[in-house]
Amino acid sequence: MSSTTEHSPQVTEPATAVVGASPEKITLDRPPKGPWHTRVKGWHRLLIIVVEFTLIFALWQYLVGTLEITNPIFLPPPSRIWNGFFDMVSSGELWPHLRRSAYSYTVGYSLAVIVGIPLGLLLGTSVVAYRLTGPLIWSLYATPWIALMPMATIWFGFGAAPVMFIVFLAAFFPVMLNTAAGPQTVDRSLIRSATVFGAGSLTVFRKVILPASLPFILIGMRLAIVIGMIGLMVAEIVGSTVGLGALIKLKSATFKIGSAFSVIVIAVTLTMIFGTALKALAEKVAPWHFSDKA
Amino acid sequence: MTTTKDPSGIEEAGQVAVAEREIDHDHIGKVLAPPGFIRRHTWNFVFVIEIVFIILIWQFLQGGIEIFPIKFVPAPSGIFTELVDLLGDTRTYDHILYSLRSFVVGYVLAAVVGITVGLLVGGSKLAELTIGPLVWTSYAVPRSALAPMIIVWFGLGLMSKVTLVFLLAVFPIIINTMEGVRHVDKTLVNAGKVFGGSTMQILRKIVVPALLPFILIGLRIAVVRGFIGVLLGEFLGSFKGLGKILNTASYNFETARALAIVVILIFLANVTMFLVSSIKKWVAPWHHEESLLGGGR
Repeated sequence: MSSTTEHSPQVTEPATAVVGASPEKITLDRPPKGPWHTRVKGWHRLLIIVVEFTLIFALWQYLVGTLEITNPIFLPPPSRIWNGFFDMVSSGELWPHLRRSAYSYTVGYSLAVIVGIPLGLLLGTSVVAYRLTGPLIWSLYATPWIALMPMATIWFGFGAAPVMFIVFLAAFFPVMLNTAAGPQTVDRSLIRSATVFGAGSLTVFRKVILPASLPFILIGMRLAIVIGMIGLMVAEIVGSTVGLGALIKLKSATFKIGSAFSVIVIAVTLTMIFGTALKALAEKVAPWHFSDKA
Repeated sequence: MTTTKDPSGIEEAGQVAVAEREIDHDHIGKVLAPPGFIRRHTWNFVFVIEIVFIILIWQFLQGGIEIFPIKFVPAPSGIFTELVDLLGDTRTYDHILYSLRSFVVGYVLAAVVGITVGLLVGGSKLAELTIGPLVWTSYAVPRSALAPMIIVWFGLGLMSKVTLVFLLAVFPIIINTMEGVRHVDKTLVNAGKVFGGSTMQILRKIVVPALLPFILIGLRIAVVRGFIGVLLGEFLGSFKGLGKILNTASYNFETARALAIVVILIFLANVTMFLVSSIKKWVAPWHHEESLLGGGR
């Protein structure tokens, strides 16, 4: 884990060799001196990002909005995206869609977490259970769940239920499989020493396995946020009339691409809100996961 | 490393990449069960028996006592009949080929672009500063939400599906490649230098072997995403392809036929997945996804 999240100049250094840099670059083993861009840190970095995005948006606005190098109906300038957003908010058109999407997403995601974590813990702790169901689960995981969307509509009708079902399917596997990886990677010697000190299997589970698995559970939940959002969008685009995905489809079909883009921005914002909420929760329930990254 | 909040969210995304990697269950079995405890093939048989068992129960519940209306949940026998019917029809192969063609073109493009961008962003500090934020921002956007617009832009033909496959498949590849670059052991590179290795040798003997498993894991995840892209594109508007006939079948309420097409899709996705996994086992046999399995490292 530790080296995964590490992101210091030293770690990225050898990789310069990959893009075929000069050989002396490979051997950098000194405090970063190099050109300016190797020393950018903290808020400077943020500044660069902000400037870059401002430039991109300004250029986009100029090229498409003023020069009209492409037909603005197909690729609207940022100003039109903003107008589209403003129109939908002021006319109140957005709210029913937003409410429905938030509802389907929350229910589908919560179900995935509620079902996925216990099943994942079971799979992770019991070799027999894993051996029995593992191959099946992996081959199910490999199937594109969107293929079930037309069937889900037949099974659950045209309301929020088929969308929930797809969000559930999309989010369930990352949660369960990552949770299963938790108990499987617990340091065996920790379990042994707990047993030596007289802990029963329940205590071992509660005091050793569960805390060690928490980071994995959280990774699964975080992944599921993004994948669940993909599921939500896909399901609503393909088979729903209410929801953000359906709104995107409607707006594109009527060539209001600006509005469609602004819906995507809303979806991104939603994802970010959920992600931030989860991160706050994670820091609360598993603070050690965020402190021992040394 | 002391935990610093990275403004571009790179730290967070690193964990995502870890989890996007998959677990080699054979290896877990070997780690947890004593070696030679149970022969590996036993479990393959168990897998087959399991599937047969599930099908039999399903057949009993639906074909026999019919707990759900058969119109909604068809029995396996009905699906099988439709499957035979579909596979006997040459038009089906046209549809399969059409879907596979959009998949392959988009997937190969995604692989080429994804690996290149991943190497660049992971390997060069300058690229990381300039392209990096763009990559992370686009990663946050649900690409699938672009599908209706992509249909508007590229029409109902092959182009729109290829674009969708590319957009959905490219990000797992980029992110895993970047992760791989970050995992190249610097000590090994230095050791290689000390022992007089040339740049080419270091690339070939140290960097590439360290990178390959990660890239291949990214490629494996991209398979599922790519298939989602194909289906999404074909659901939204197409003249041909498996997604098209699946859609038609479910609109006509031919659930058995629709599920037969889903079976074909499951088969295709698993075969592609298996191919990529085999490539990984072939070029990187030593790699067992150790960052998830090795514990404290």
